Amino acid sequence: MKITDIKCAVIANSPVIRITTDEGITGWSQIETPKPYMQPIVLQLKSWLVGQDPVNVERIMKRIRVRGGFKPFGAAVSAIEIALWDIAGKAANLPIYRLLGGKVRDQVRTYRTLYQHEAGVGHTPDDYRKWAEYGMSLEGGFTMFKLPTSFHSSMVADFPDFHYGAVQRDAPFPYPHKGLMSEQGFDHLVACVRAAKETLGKGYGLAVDAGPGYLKQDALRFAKAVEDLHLLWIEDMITGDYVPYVNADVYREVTPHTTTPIHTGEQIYLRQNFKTLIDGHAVDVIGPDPCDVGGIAELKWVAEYADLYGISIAPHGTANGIFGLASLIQVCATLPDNLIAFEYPARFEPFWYDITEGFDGMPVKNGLIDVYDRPGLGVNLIPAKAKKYLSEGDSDFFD
Amino acid sequence: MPVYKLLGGKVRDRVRVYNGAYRKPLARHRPEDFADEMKRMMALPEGFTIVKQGISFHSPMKNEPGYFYGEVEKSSLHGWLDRGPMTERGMAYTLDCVAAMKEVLGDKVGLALDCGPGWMLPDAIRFARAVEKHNLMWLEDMLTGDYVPFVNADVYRDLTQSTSTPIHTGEQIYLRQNFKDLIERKAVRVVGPDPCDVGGIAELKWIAEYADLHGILMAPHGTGNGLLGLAALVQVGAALPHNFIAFECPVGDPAWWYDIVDGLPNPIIRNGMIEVWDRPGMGVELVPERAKRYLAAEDSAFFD
Repeated sequence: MKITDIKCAVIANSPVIRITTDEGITGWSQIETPKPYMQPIVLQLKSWLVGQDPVNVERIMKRIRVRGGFKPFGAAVSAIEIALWDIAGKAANLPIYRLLGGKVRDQVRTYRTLYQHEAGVGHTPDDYRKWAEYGMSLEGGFTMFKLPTSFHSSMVADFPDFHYGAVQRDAPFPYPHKGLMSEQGFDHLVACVRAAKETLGKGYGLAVDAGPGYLKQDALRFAKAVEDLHLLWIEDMITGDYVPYVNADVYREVTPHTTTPIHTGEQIYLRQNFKTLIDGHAVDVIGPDPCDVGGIAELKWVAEYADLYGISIAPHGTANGIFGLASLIQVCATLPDNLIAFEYPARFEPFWYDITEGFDGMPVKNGLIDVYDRPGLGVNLIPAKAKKYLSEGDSDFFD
Repeated sequence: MPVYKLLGGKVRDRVRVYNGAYRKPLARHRPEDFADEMKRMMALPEGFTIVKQGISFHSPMKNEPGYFYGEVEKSSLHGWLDRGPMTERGMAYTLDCVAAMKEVLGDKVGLALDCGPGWMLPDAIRFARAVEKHNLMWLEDMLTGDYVPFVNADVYRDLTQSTSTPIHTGEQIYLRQNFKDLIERKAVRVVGPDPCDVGGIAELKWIAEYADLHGILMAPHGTGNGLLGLAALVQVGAALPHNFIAFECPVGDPAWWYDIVDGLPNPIIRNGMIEVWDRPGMGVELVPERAKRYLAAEDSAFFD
């Protein structure tokens, strides 16, 4: 089999990839929703792909892996990897998990990141109680929730003098703040998180997405102050989302000194860039994203490497769309027992269920998803229904 | 005011460059071909005092039958595409080429070798030790390097600690944080960030000073940076500490670049050095009237 073409269309702000072959098999995948600018970066890899045999996934990855980097620049290579697995699975008439070594579980746990704007709340203890109640009322029966807060939220701007730094209201990026927290800001943060967890009770797990932006001393102080809450983890306090480096040694100065698990890694590209985090025991949980780390086989390798060091994995995926959901289910079915749960890609519109075949609506029940056996990713775009969502420039996407 | 004054001022009046770009690809790769290339480079009017030559995995040598125990990707690109253990014959052949080059250069012109990436660690150690007698300037990118999206500093550390031949890497690395393991753990003897990839000239200067703190030298990369990149390298090179060796001098390619950029000295290089100029900013300007004709149709508004 040979690759004949690769196309990329932006549908509802989300780049969707289509790889075609001379045997009529099509591979699909998707890049995180807020990255429409990746479209030309996908397309410039075309000459490196056309003519290659798509079922030899690693052989192609050897060629193109050098053209990626930390988030967002690993997204094109990662999404291409996933589309290649889709083709390889369809060619073998097997679900992808069978090509990754087989599933070790029949159901995969997923956690729900719940943004304050979804629940219509702000950043007070009362708001966080409402946030928790809203989460428990959501369809899907999620058993774990992630709470964006402090430097990973508008708390920095909403709570007066939250930290000793200027509030940036015109930053081009949602999490631009970094600096020492004020004592009032710190107490407010702890009170808010405490309110959320007390509302959820012991029946639900709570993770906190907190940064980046913490100085080391605040990170440790915060992790220790919430130790009694038995959090799932605190995420990205030191480095994280869109940060083009790791600084594992700084994490190492926090992690061993608290019983609250410390988590990072969504922006990291390739196993080599996890080395200092993992073999330095710098965090308790890693959170690579299949759509940024270099693909699903790369994510599986990193999970097994982490397991060797007693480190857990909770893959990132909030904006990965319906194809990202499918790839997370496939890969998480094969991960070792250090898997906690993957982040449910909740940020896609209901119309995606109409323009694809595969999922019969939202697949989460009791916080779990049944691992299905459809070939490849098990999700396909339906051209006749999807066409109307194409922009003018992408009108030849299905040709 | 020239840019170097905004970077803290110049610490030298002339900046040393090395030759990594005043050349054409070799037609063949026998020891005598490398020797001829050294003669040609020594005869250049620029008077380079340091030259860099691509060999091994950083050259078509890797494609020769039996060079290494691996399948050749047959790509024109380097950068982690071909890697593997070297055959004894491949190793001996590479060493013969180095000896042939050194025989021509003697102790008059320094020789640096761009080697990879692609080497396995044991071969890299064996090679670095075998060329110790040649007093090379450095061996570049043996393990990771050009277009490799990671550093693997711990593997470099094993190589560097094993030999007196200076080990060099870093052209693909973005930002100071990604140099931490290389520099703090003394994993190389020379770093080679590129101002056009590392995050800019102030970032490059910061890294040079950080490296100096740890006894690590600095030889910035620049082969493809063009004439505007050349100006940036001169400005920042003037402001670097004494751990600065030389930067890789870019060329105007195609040659009409020299017609459309104003401000460079003529000749640009004398005795392997470039005199630091005092014109404001970078001190070079694109000349729209002369440059316009080289614009692609879709870029025609570039000078508006």
